[in-house]
Amino acid sequence: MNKNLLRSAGIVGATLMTASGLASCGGSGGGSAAATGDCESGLPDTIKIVTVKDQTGVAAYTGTEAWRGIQLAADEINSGDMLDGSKLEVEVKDTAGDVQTAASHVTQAAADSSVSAILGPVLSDQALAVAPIAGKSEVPVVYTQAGSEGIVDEDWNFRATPPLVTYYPKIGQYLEKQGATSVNTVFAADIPTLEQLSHDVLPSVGEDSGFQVGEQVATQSTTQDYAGPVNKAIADDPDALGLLMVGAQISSAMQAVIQSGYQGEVVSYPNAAPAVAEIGKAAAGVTWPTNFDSSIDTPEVKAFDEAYTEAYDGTATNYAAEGYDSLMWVAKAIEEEGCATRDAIKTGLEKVGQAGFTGTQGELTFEANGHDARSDGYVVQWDGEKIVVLEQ
Amino acid sequence: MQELINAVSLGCIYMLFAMGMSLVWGTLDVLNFAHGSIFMFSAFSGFYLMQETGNSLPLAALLLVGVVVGALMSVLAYQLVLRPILRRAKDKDSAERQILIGGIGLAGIPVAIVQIQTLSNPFSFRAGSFEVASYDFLGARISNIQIVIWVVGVLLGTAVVLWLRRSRSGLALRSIGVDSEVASLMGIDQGRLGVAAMAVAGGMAGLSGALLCVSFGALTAESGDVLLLKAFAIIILGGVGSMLGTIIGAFFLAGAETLLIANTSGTWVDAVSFGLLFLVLLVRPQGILGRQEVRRT
Amino acid sequence: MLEIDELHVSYGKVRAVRGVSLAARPGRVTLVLGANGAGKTTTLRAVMGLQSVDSGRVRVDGTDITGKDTHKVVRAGVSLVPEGRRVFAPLTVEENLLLGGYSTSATDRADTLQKVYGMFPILSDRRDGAAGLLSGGEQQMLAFGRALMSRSKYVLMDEPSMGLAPSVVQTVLMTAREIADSGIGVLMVEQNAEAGLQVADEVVAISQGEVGFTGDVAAARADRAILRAFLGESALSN
Repeated sequence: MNKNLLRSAGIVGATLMTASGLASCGGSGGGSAAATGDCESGLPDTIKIVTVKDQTGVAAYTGTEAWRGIQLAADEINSGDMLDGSKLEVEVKDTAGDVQTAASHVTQAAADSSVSAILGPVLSDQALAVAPIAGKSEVPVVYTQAGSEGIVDEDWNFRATPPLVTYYPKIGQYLEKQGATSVNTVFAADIPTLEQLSHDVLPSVGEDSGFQVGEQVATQSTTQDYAGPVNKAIADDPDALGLLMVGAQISSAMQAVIQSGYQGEVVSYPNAAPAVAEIGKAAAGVTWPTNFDSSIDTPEVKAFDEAYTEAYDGTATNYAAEGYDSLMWVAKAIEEEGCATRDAIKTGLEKVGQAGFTGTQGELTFEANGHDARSDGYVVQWDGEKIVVLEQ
Repeated sequence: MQELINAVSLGCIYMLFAMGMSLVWGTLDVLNFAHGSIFMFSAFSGFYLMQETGNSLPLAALLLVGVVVGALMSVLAYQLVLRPILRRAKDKDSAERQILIGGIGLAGIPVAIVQIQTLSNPFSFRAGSFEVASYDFLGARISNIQIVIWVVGVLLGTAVVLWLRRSRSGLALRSIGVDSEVASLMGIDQGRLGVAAMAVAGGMAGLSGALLCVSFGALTAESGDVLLLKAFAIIILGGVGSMLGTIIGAFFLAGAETLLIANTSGTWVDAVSFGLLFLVLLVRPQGILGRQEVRRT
Repeated sequence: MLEIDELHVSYGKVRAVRGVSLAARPGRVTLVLGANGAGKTTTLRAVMGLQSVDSGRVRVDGTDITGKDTHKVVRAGVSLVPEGRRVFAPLTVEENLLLGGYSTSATDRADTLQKVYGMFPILSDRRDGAAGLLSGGEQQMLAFGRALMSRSKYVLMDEPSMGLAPSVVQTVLMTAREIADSGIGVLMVEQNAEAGLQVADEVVAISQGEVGFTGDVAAARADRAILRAFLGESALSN
């Protein structure tokens, strides 16, 4: 309570200072102390990074996993002395699935002049609300997930997760190998990304990979029974069936596919991972493109998965990997500039982005002037017991 | 044919869920908005036990857990919250309002617990204990879990209708629904019967929760909410207080949804099926088999 | 004997019944007279446990039933034919009767049902019809039959003639008399004093929550206050 009061008092002060700074320095991001001072004296002892991600509510899993990855990255950076003896201090703010809460956490962090950068929310609606705040208060924000368009259009905003639609075309290679010529889909029409995958991405991939997308059965986020939609989608016995929905719906749709006796290929997207694990053997053969999987054979992934397993049990998730990469990107930016002011981090993020780097998500390149991550992705498949990598 | 099988399965699920809600609404005047979260939490309890026992519970045990947990939660909700509200309320209108709010409040607790426990991820009875398989049936596919749902649905649907129609306690429950004060003047102990009715309602919710978790593959903390809305529509459609009406309403909605999915873009399912409901109500405000005012003037 | 002893009942701050004492005896009809709001119905409701009691006692053949739950009062041998009959309209006639016998054994229920059908043949004819479709007089018979089904020793009747056609009032009240003659103690609240007096054995008059008169029918007919209050000026001049 007291801490909050003190912080609120601090906000008022910091806001006033920012305003005067803007007036005198022409938007160079005034303020004080570590995050906004000059770089003459090198790196400060501690560099404060605030994470604003769902820890409870609808996206709790995504947010907590990302936070795990961020903490692993911070540990590695601090113990490896990557930043010349300077330490990263990370803390997390829970957005609880709420746009307003996300915006207010980011506003507070931006007003706190000791904060150098923010790791932004995972949900697109929150990210879209936060992006203009970042631009106005001139603080770099790095998102994971948050795949909607428009989020990184605003300056000062960066995204460490390649948007699903950018690496989804990788599935074309797999479908081509399987000789698929007809693909039908069942998709959640009220999730823009999934609608885009079904309506735009898959058909255009099909043009190169020799398949046509036929029946596309729209469902809603309230749909619980998938027997009907799935039966409609497999009525003309397509070579492959795309299942593009969220949460429990993927499990329900797969269950419906299994019960329908459909024998063709089933393709999905990274959210299918928990669902196939729950279903087990009966879901063998479900295939999807992904930006990360713990079984991918690179030194980065191996090291990360080991660290993750040691800290939290279980295998590393893509959300954790993205969180890890996002903080690593920030650390590389600080290293690059030798400075931890907001301005320097922004410049650093852009430079590192333009050059690209290898993270747990593989070789990342960046578009939009180094702001928006891209990767080729991988194609993985559930073999009934574990996920195996098909296309690396 | 496939559509028919799907529609019947879906109808059985709607029926199992909605009948309990209809039972206590029509008799005890308890429109229980916590019914959906009881449904969800019963399935979650099965999931939790599965985890604790290393995935070794057979389907029958999971269904039993669902029934027991559902019945217990429903009775607790009645004794601790809903019944005190019914007793203290000044009149029927304010009782209905308070029951509604009380139920919504109650519903939040299990949902929050499960959200925290699962981080809002779907939960399911993992594979191993019960393998879903499907068979050819008159040129269509029917799965073993669908058969279980049909059998349970037909048995329980019939049992509840017969119980209310034929038995002494069923008759007493119906009389409570008509005039609870006069029912007590008949020597009926409403406390005990109320508990029994709530236990049956909760047990059916729990059972459908467990069945659904197997059939749909997974549930989430919020799964009960969607079903609750549909059950509400089904009961209104069939007519409050009529079990047969609820059954008809359940199959009507399931049939409409299945037909819509088969013949139109799935985006319109909710809009059109609830629109149909609206139409029925315009023509027949008391629902298909609603209790008409039987009175000679 | 059903004894009501110094009963006090209030609704919030309104003291509706203030020290009412009266009794019903097997085989006899006790008529309770009183203007609207005198506290007659409240007294009956308090006996049945539908209304909480401030003080006073209610005893059935010596057993204290004060403040007991309604279903326990019924089991103790007291039932109420409520004002306005209140039959279960959507249920069938037979279901209504079976509900009346809810707390009796299955064999007793079947026996009593035959007796009630014998007493009210119209109910037997209409047994599968909805109770709400009966005429007012028939509904009153059903309400009586329902009370008899409980095999109660004491039956309270709240305004049995209310809302009935004048031609039916006589029949209904004669039925109440017959019920008493079968050995049941009847405690009857009735607005229609003249008709009530014709079937009553004892009379209690209540005004403003207090008992103003207790005595037999002859004494009541001789009491000028009762004549004025309940039988009108014409009766007084006779």
